[in-house]
Amino acid sequence: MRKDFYDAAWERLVALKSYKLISIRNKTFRLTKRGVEFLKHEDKEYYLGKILLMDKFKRTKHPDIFIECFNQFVKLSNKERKAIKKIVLGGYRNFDEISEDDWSVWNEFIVKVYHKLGKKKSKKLIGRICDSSLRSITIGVKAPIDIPIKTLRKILKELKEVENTFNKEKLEEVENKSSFIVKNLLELHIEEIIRKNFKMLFPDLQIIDNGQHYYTKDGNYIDILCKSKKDNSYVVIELKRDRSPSRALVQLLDYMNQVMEEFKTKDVKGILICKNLDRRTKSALKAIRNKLKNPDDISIIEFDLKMGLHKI
Amino acid sequence: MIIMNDEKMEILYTLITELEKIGCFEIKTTDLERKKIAKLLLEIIEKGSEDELVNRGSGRWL
Repeated sequence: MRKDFYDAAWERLVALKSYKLISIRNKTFRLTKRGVEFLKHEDKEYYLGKILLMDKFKRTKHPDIFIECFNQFVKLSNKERKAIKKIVLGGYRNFDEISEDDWSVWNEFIVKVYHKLGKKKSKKLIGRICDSSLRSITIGVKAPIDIPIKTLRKILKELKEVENTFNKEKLEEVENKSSFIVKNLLELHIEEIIRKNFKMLFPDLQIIDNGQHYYTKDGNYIDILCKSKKDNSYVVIELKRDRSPSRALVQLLDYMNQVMEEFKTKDVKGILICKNLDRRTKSALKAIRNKLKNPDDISIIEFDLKMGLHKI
Repeated sequence: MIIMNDEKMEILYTLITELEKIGCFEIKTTDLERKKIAKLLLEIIEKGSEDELVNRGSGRWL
């Protein structure tokens, strides 16, 4: 057996888990929805690149720098991209091998992003965010900088479309620009915001998923899994950022059932957090709750974009 | 749905093969090695001993 056999195995295991293609629980693994889609997808490099960028985009605290970094990166010449790659992927290990020309390409790149952002953020911060956006810190996971440029352009186009779906309102129709930006960021980062403010929003609940999506035996993931401090029941929280709450309600019921089976309990409650609840879902919810012993076992919370919560 | 071990191994093998095809990994492997890796991954997952891979490795990723 070759010397680095176990290293290769570890590299692959980390990749499978980092891309969330499989989930491992209770000494078994399941193919996730992503895993199935990845296997089915004709252009796997594109699909994986999209996962990578979307995940990074959702996590970044500076989405504006992130987008602009890639906007500028795809506009560079091959030679310039090569220089930046040397700095991002090898800069800290092989510092001496980087020429002054390469450094100047990197600095010019940062300055371009800086100017595009209207000089609102420091160059140091831009440099740091661009560096972390382009690199990968996990073994087995491709660095965005390594995605072929044609594929990267395609993904970036889609990323902008995702951003645009949150920017349907025209700026002139909005009272002030800052609240408009906050609104759209809220939608993109709703889960993060809920998790960060969980104690305040749900004082009677306690998160039990260690801050990560909980994968069910069927390979689905629950946005937030928690327990009630009052009666120790499990509580499934499903977040719906877009407009299809009726499907989300079915999804919530499915996840509640999966938790019941997995933890062998009937004490499972569900909360759906969504925007714009439609009439049909409201009616369906009413019918379900009328049949429940405790109607509060399923609740829907509409979020408005100022993050006020209204229980229905 | 009960998935047999052979099927599980096949899934792992297919996933790591597809990932390798698109250049995800630093360490390149042959088809036979990937089959062995898939088998090993399944074993360590079922034993719950993922750290074993790091302990038996060269320390390259540490």
